[in-house]
Amino acid sequence: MLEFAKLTIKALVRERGFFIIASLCLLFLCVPVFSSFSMRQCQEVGISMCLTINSFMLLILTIFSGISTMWKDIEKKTVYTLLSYPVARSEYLLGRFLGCGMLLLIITIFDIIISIPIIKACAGMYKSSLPIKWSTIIVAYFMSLLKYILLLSISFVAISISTSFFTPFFITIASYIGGNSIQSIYDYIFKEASKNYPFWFKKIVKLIYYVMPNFSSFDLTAYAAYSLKVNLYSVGITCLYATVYSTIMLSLSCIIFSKRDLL
Amino acid sequence: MIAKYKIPISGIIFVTSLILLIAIMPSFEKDMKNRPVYEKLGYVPTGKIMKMISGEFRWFLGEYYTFKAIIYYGDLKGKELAGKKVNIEYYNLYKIIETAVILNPYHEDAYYFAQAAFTWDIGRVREVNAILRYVFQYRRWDFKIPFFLGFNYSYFLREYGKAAEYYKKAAEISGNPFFASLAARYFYESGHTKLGIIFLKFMIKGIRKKDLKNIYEKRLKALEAIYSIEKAVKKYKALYGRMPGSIAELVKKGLLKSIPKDPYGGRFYIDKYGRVRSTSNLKEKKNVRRSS
Repeated sequence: MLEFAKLTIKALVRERGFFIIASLCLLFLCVPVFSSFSMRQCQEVGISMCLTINSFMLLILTIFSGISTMWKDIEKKTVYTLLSYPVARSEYLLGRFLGCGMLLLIITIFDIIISIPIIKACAGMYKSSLPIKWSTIIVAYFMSLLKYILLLSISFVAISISTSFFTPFFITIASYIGGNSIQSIYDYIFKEASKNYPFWFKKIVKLIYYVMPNFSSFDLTAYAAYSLKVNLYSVGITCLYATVYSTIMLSLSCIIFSKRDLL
Repeated sequence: MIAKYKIPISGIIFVTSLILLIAIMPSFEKDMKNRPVYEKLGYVPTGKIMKMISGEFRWFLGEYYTFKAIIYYGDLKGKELAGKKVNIEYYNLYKIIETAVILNPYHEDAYYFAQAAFTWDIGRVREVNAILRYVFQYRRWDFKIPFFLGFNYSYFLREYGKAAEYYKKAAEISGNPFFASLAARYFYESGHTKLGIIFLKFMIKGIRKKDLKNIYEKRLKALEAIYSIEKAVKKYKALYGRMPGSIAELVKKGLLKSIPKDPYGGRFYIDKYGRVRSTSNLKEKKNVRRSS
């Protein structure tokens, strides 16, 4: 499995697409320029923009590299060569997943390192009334990473079902949008407009809420940018949620992929 | 022997297109400049929908929309201060700030800007108060929000009860009793002008953008001029037991060095109730067309 993971990292790094995505790092250079537009919040804007660029890079990497690594194997028939080794199909799939996840981790660490001087430069422009909480910023980066690992696991389920590139692509995009919106929909139906909806409708929404991935809980941008106090229980339960959900998705993709006819 | 070099057709098309682009760019630039301002400001979907679909990008989007509004407003206001005729799309501007606040209620610039742009010039104080109250649900540590709310309720809406409530909150959060004493000191004793001066000085201190600073500094100059006349009127009344007939009379009696100039181009005068007014009403000379 580790061999497949190493192979995946090597293959992805060699790809031209990866360099295009990695070159998005140059966007970090725009952060001080953009935050200088702020009247009073250069530091806060700098932090939120660094986290946004990191999220954007992880999103693009998850969607394109994550899907393309498996799809290319199937499309170019290299999957037969790889599976001719005495390994289980699930090991191959998990290896690919691990490789993609490791790449996301490397990019996140790289982004954290870049953003330290950038945030310091932004903070130097105008003294903020809020302190820079590096621990919260790093936690926010890693929560973002967890979110995209979860999205990656969903994209692997889609890849294990479909042979085309576009079906997993659209399933991943739809899951991403749905996962970002589900909490707002839930809050609207169960809090703001609770009286307007019948009991059975609320039950259906609750069911969807349980099934859909919930990405809202991974977003700690505001906590990092505005030095808010992070609730450790919330972070812990979100990590547990991500682990359990990703495990379900991966085991499901292993089951489907093991039974799939690749011929 | 010179080898014949054949230029490929794609090369000819490329060079021709490049020349054509260079040729049309000045006209394109001119057309963009002449387009209605609302096109430049653009349409922004409601904050609730944006918030629902934008995920963790909502924070940055909120900041982006605020900057868009600040740059747009600062640019046009700068032109207005230079005496040019401008048309500020206040309605679109307000909608952008409303969306920005829903997307990122923690961003300080949004409410700061709303306070700067929509109270003095167009009198949308209740709308600004709604933004401030919404933001205050999130920025519970920020004493400036209840201070702004208190100021708006007292200075513009003259609802002193609510104003006192917010000043009290500002005092509690900041630990500065100055805010709590504001209502009593400046409403019942000295009138509004001094409070306006204090507020403007506070705002100017917190603004980095030069163009927005200029707007406030101009208003501060006007209020300081009014305040100096008000003080002279008060002295005159104490000395002679009646109201002065004109500002010139104050100068004549040595209570005022000279007649202050209104930075908005108007002329100061004393109305029949003894209040200092200006023919400009402290507004730019017919340059602003308000949108609903």
